[in-house]
Amino acid sequence: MYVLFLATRYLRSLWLTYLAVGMVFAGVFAMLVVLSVMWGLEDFTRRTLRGPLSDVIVSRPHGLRMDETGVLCGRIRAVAGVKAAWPVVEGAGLIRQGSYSRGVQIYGLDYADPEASRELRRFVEAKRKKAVTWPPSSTDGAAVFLGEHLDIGEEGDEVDFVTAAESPSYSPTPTMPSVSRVSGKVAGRFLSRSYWEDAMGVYLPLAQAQRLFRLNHPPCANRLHVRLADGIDDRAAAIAIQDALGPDYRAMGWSRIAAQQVEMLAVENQIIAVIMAFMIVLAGFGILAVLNMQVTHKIGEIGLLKALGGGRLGVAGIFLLSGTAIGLVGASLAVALGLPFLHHINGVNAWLMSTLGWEGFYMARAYGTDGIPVLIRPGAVVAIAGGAVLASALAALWPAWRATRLHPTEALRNG
Amino acid sequence: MARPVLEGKGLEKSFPSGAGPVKVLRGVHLSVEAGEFLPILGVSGCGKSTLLHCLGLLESPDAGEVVLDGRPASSTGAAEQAHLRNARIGFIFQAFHLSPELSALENVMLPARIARSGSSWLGARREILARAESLLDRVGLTPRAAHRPAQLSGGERQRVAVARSLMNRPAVLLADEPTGNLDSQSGEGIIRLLEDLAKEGAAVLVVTHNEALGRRARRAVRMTDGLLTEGI
Repeated sequence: MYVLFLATRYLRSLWLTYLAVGMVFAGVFAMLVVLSVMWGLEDFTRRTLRGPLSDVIVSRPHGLRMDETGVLCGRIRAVAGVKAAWPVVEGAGLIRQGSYSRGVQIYGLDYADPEASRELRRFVEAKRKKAVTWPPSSTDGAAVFLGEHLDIGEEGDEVDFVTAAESPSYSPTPTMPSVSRVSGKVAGRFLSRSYWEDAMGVYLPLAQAQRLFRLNHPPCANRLHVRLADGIDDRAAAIAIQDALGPDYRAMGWSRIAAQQVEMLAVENQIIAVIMAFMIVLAGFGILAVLNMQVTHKIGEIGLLKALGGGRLGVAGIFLLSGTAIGLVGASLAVALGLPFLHHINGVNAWLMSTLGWEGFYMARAYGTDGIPVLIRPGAVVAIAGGAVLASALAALWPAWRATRLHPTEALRNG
Repeated sequence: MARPVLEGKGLEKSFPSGAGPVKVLRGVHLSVEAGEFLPILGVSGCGKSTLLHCLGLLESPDAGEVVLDGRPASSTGAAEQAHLRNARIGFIFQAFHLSPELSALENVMLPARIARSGSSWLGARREILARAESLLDRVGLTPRAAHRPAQLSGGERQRVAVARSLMNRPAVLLADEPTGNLDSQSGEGIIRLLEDLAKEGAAVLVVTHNEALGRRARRAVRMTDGLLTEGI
């Protein structure tokens, strides 16, 4: 009982205690805020990198046509962890408006399939900054969506698409490509945040894309896109799908397609986490210094406690509890203030920009985000706060050991 | 003859120094009964305090044994010695040694806090508080119960220390120069208090170089060259 009582009194008596609490607070708060923003950026960038890609993409060598997509999609859906699968027509072509033309990457999707069109719908809503009616009306012809930065066509304009399509079927003799053309009406723009997609990407209804790439006799596709359940590893799922479809098909997870950027982001965040962890270590050294000073300051009282019958464990417990309490209070304050801060970080940024005339964070300009992206990982919050408390308790070990080593009569004489 | 509460049997103690070990206690024999007030006289540095520390289980003798309540005490483990110091021995120091963060009342209650774990403390808190208040009342410090040591005079601090030493109803009170830092009036008050405690049944050992104290006690011992002699 006296351990808790004296630890509290000793802590309150030394103003340096508040400095130590402040150091833990600063370390945990900074780590929480910086890592949550970095994870937010990572998440945002991963989504941006992914663009219109789904979790796993299935194709055939040389872009050959995939018949019986319904059967294939059924086999894919039977694989564990697969949520949905749908056919896509994808290829390069030209968009023309009058005499002006541009090279584009064309995606053909079934707009009526909510899984197939989920990302496109999200991109369109991102551009319009509001919910849209889906699927788009096709009464005036094929509804076409153009990337935000594609400098051709306005909403409502008629545009043509042209490809020089070879026969998508295998032929032992070379064939000459022939021009194929379809028309459509610009239904709107989309914003994927991937500059390449927003400058080059075009979405067409699946039937128009099949006609354009001559995949309509019978209707087929040259890609199958797959969506996985949350938490399923795309690379492992790709291997399972490959096994289910056999060697004539190639399944690849999106993170393998964008492997370099994804791994770069992960490594970058790991390095930042390690650097930030040093702040916690620094706070631990602060606690060690404060408690060590307290032991020196309290030599006489430690001697008295031993004279009054305080055991080694009790005396050590006072300082171990003090260190743990410093960590606990500092980390709790940091979490209690850090989470609301992260919740309102864009408001704070806006306030800084408007009140102080400061330009705030350059997130929007540098990353193309609407604000500072934040991703709070509850497990990480617990790990950061728990790590800080553990570091504080460890930092108290040396002062506690020193206190137990003091001889009572010497401590009473020198105190 | 009453059975002794505290005995020192052939106590020897030496401390290292640059010129070799200094032998401070050279086979000291001492026996104190319940209700006895025993001054230990001697010049500074003769080993009085070392003897008191050995008897109070704060120092381990190099040879010999301290016997408390008829049982060997100095040869037991550190935890048992800590328990005996808490339950059977009360200490009063020349420098008071009060905790500056605690009030007079909290200082008095400290030995009881040390003796109890969380649940037993909570169960006995009212009783402990009442005893601490009555002890402060006994030393005439009820109005100063909430004061910190820094707000008390030297005499008042020593009276708080006496009240603290009585908290766990010890069998033995060990006072090391209890009047050394006090004026004569305050010192006299403390000595009378200790004499009263002896009359109530505690064995009180007082280390002092005050010859007058030796004369007014029924029995006194003198320490010379690491050995005790009876009488002054």
